[in-house]
Amino acid sequence: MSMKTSNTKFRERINVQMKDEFMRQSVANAQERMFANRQIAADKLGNWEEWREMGMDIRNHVLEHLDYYLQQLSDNVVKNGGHVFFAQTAEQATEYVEGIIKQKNAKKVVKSKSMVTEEIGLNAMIERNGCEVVETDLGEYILQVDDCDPPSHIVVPALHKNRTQIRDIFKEKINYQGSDDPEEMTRYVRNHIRHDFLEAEIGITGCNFAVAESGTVSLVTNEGNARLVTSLPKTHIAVMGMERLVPTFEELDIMISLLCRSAVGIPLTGYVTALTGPREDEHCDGPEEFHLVIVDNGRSDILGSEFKDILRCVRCAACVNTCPAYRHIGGQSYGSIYSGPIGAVLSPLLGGYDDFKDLPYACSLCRSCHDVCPVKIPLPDLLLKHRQKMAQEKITPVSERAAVGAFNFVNARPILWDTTVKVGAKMAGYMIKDGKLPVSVGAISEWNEARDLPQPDGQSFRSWFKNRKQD
Amino acid sequence: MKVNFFATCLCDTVKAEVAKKAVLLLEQLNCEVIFPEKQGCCGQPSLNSGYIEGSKPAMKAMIEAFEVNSHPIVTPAGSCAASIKKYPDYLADEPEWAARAQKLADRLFELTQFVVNEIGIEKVGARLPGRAVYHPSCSLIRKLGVREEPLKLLANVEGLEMLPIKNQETCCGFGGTFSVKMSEISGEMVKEKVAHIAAVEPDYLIGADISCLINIAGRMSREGKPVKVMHIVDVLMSR
Amino acid sequence: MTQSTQQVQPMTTQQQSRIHNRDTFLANIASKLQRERITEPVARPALKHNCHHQVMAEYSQDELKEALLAYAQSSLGANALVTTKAQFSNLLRMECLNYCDKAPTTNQEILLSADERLLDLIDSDAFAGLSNEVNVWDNHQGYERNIALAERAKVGVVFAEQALAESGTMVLYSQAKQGRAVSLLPEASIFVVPKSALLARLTQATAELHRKAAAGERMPSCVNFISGPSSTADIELIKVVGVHGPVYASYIVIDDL
Repeated sequence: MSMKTSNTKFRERINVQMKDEFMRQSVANAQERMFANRQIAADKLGNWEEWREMGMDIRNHVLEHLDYYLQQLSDNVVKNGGHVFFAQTAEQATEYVEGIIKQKNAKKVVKSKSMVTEEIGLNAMIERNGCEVVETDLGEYILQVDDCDPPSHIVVPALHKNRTQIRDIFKEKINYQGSDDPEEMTRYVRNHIRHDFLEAEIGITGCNFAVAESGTVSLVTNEGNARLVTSLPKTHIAVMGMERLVPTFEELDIMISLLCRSAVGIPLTGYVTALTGPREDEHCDGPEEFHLVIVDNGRSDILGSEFKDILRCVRCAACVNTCPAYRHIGGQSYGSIYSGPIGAVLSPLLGGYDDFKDLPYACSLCRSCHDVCPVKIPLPDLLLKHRQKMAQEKITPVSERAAVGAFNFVNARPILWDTTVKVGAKMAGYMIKDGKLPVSVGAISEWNEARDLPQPDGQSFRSWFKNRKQD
Repeated sequence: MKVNFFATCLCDTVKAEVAKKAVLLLEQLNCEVIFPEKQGCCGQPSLNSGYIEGSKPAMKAMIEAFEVNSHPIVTPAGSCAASIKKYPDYLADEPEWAARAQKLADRLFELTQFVVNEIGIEKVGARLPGRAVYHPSCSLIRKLGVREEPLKLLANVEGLEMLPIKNQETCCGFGGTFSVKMSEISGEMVKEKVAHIAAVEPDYLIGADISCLINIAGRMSREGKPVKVMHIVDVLMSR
Repeated sequence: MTQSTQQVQPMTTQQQSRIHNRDTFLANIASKLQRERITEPVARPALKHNCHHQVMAEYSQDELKEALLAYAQSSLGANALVTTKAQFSNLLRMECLNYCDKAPTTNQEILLSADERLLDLIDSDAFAGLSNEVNVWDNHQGYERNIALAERAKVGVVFAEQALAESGTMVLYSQAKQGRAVSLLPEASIFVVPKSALLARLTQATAELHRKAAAGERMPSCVNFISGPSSTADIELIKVVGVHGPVYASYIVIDDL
């Protein structure tokens, strides 16, 4: 899988997704809880706006000096015995990892959840080399077992599945004979893939935040799989989006505190693991070899553009958890591994407008995402910027450009506008009956799908005002 | 005091009663209301769809329309006020126009904001017995930061009981062109909003943005819900 | 502005050979930022606010202890206990047996970290008379033997560097004497921490790591901030405790240490 997860058109996809009552209920429930928990955690910490400001400042500082901090990070990784590969493209990144797999003659890789590895299509490459790859994060495992069903949420990827569906998947694919009780199924998976952790030659993770001053990669998890992946196999490869770092441990404190509360509403996740290099010589567990793969894959273009604020993102999904559009259409509607408001901004940037041009319009500009982002990314403004770019590049439909053109023509000419309003008010009064026009086409028919048209008052305001002045 | 009135295209064409009552309310509060006739639409349908360049002549026409004097401008719609307040950003590469836009933005107020904060009145003597739900529009609360002012005015309406609803601050799904461009999603959002409102069985739904009200009323009418949809000025002029 | 205080040592050729494609990559970033590449240390701006230092700032060690234990018990499902040096061995024995008794037909073994700070607290007869096998991590015996012990053990006992009151967290540094596996493979984890090592929150723990890094010390290869047993909410957002990591956790605070 790469970032793109579907070949159907956006409106077809959402129509299919919106018929999935379970998914919609599931997403609505999840949103409610995650949104509430985030607020509770923020309130309990106190001074949340100050924390957000610090988060924004730290991320901006790093982005402005990204070349220096990546230099410092890579220096420190190799000083501690690790390797660093700078990958401009997805292909370069997967090729490098492929080289390690071949060199180790690896037959099994265990992975902990990493969006950037999905983005670059890493698993496909691993399997092409005759090597098994096991997604060990429970949500990702469920999707992998289910013939690689795409994730529907950045933090809780199997959100769209209910326990019965999961039980059926496990029954069919991994010989599970038990009930649909989540605890029972979780225990089964624990036992079922335990041996994979012990057998794998290579463990692959993402990186929540690297720390430049020490060459450290930090992982924010709950299940313990990331710890196993980075402690048992002899080789650890961490793949990192190039912007995911902080200068020192002091900034790490702020970012982790914001991330854990924004994502899952708790002060710290079960395991925050800071890994530096391969293990020391006298230790007997931990990897003997460590590789850090730093991925650009379009991020530097974003850095140099008007969209650079999106690179502050810490992948907490707080925006996803508040978005009303997401609530109704679900994550798989976005056709990208990145869904919700972050997905609507990022997917067209990394993947282009051809595949993702609809996403910036799947938004009512309500701005609730803007209010929850822990690093104060102006998401609605970035979505508007996409719309502006698409208007400029004439990617929008011809009919829309014509209608807007006509509207702007009239609106710029007060006398013309005045007449249009007066005539329009009268005509609307005559023609709209019982919430419908005699002929329903285009925008009017779209509106009419779910709503009646307003009952007009029949005369323009300005006519009334003018006439009364004359009295 | 003298105030300019910005009617908004929706009120001007299909909901003149709302604009009328806004004027009457301002007059009751001792304002002399001026209607600069060269005003047009704030341009949201074009601006929010990304057509900034094409919108510039209209934005400039709007600025000129209100430069006939320097009195404050009042409008009964949060989204339109918020849209005009962004003109300085849109015209940033024409500094002279941007400065003129900023002057305009600085004198522009949403109606409840103006009554409560500028005139300084929270009780206008309205009376409307019944149970009501207030819908805070996204523009009002998240773009303009106007949260308390409508609530203060409604709290002083005799006989009116305000009821909370689930997800009260969630978007109603209008979003301008979103309502027709992404009509399926918009439709689901307004259905959810109506369900939450209907659950408390109010007599009235009250809002300060005509666009949201047209959207929600359109769905309530389709579902045959017996809730009367009122703009806040309708309420404030009830006796 | 905070000047970077890190002592920068030049890299060896061997180290440099382990970096690939850096120059083109970073030059590209600089060009996108429309400037020359920065290769000299950058002045880090001071954080604008102080709120992270203010959390539980006035708390005594006893108050931190109360906060830690309350949070661990109520929110993390960890068993939170206080004891003294004199009583510790007894408590440890009981706690280990509690876990072993949960499933008497399966693993009954106990694995101790070889951290002297832990071993010094344990009386020689702490586990006397029990049929349970008690092993100690021994890095000289190699990976296979130690991992096998850890995987067989029902309980792993470790000594924490610090504990964080706000989040109910135990801070572990990997050491030759305390392998990563001791707090990872066994089903139950017992963390031992002196009351004097309690901190308010993550801020103080990261300050210590920053101090080490700025002084040019090699970071422990694995620093873990552990808050309770492992968990997930990936199925219908329902919290399940015990996934791939330990299923149970006990925190023991030594009151007079």
